[in-house]
Amino acid sequence: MTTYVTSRVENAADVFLGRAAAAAPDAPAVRDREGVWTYARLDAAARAFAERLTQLGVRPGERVLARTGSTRAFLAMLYGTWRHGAVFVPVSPAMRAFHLKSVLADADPAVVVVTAAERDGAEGLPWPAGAQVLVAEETDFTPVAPAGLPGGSPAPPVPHDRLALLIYTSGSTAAPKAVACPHAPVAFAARAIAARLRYGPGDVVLTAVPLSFDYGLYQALLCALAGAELLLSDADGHARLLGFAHEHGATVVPLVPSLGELLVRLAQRDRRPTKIRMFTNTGAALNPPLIASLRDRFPGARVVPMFGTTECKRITVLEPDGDLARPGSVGTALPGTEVLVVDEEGRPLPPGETGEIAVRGPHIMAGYWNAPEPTALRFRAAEGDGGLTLHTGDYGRLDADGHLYFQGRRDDLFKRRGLRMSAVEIEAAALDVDGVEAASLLVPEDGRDMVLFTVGTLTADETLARLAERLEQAKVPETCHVLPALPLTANGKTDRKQLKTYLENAHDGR
Amino acid sequence: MSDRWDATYEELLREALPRLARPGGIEPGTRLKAAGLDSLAMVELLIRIEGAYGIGIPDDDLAPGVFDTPATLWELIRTVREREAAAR
Repeated sequence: MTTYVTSRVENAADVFLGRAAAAAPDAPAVRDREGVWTYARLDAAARAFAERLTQLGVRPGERVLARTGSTRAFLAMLYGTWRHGAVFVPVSPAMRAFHLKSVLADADPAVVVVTAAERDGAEGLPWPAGAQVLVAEETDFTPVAPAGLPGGSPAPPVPHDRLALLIYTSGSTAAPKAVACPHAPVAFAARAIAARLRYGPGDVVLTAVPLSFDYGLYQALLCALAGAELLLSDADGHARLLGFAHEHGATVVPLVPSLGELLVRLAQRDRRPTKIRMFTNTGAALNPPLIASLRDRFPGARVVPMFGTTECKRITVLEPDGDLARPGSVGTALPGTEVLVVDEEGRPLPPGETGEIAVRGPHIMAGYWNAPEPTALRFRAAEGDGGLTLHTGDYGRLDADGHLYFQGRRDDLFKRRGLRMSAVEIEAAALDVDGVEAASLLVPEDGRDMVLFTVGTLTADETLARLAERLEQAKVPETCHVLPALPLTANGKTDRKQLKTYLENAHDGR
Repeated sequence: MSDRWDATYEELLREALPRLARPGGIEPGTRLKAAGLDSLAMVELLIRIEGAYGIGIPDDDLAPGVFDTPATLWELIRTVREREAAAR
């Protein structure tokens, strides 16, 4: 396809920050442990960073990689990079050398922004020779616009294919690959999510999931659309998280399971009522016992399960407390988008049948960076209209009303003793047992049978006996290990690699 | 051990971090995070400490760094106990 005229689209810096700064310049935009910035102040800081990139000779489309904590400066860098026209690449400070090395080579950044402690490199790796290094703590975010003037010119429109973000995901492949996110689908996805979640100007959104994770990063965008306040807490502040929520009146808290567990435990030692009105969840699902504990400890809060994948940001959102009527559902497709369940030939399946989850709509990103083959596999041209269908590699089913039920990754589906089953269904059955607080299943692999890991008060034998009351014989594991806690990745998902290592060590010990 | 901290604290640490339970495993300068003290374990330990000593540690005292090593955490416990004893 040849395009002779490059169409231009709104700059995401203007969609989010520019408009918020014009509409409510004095409203608090972002607060971290050190202080607060209004929307006008954040806008000025973003302009300062955009100017800095220009001074450094960064060209539009080049990458600005940030490996810093969740601070106000992170937002100034994000919006400043967009305003400038460069591509923002958030990287987790928890990323180790093995992945970081390939990410640095793949992103080929013009600028890396780092903390003072990692000025000369990280994890034993030097910063790439071709990149200019900025230290976040020493970067000047002083306003460049005259005080009292939130204006100046809005962020200029960008070519429709200009990327706003590269978001690295470590999927089934050995090296992480980046989802290339242009300005327009980022703006569309955030607006569609906003329409469902309805954050308001009075909301204070406590974001303890890292900003380097897209679930955290989009909280900034959702707050800007609503004129709400983003309240940032790093992992260092987890022990003080509930106190921080009290002190600043948090009303919305995005959760991964580990954070939910943390809040439930913190609520045991601080029983003051909170203003929390909503918990959202994606990334890894909150299990039913945890949801029940959250409802018990935070009676004013409603729970909103959601489902997504970085390749289109978000797929579905359930109505608040919708899990009560539809246990296990992750909701309906975002407005203006479509979710399908398809068979192996890509044909839509009727409600109730399990297949691959596929997605259509303006929120689909522009494939994987530098990776045409994986892109062609997942982002497929649909027959007829030239639009793209995203094949997620996730499996699930729809009910008659269009509510999606997630059943696992392709890798999580397997056959055992002639019966088709998924890790998710066995984990769900384990969680249904009183006394089991968490469960994770390793699927059969390389001649090893499936293995269940649980956390709770029951022994392995007790757990398996209760499981046998709930599942067909073939679906009951032979082996169960009871752990003090499940190992987690930096993003709060169960770390299956560590579980496998645990098994290997357990066998070596015999 | 008694010259460094009391037996209650030693026991709480061993429960929270089974990896430290081997002989000589708990030293004042042991990095607790490296020994497996993640956020959840940190809060669990905090709750048990407060229960065992009958104290309430205010959030303001839970600055980054207090969970770095057995010594830093013991210092916090000592400070809070003294402060609460003086206030009685």
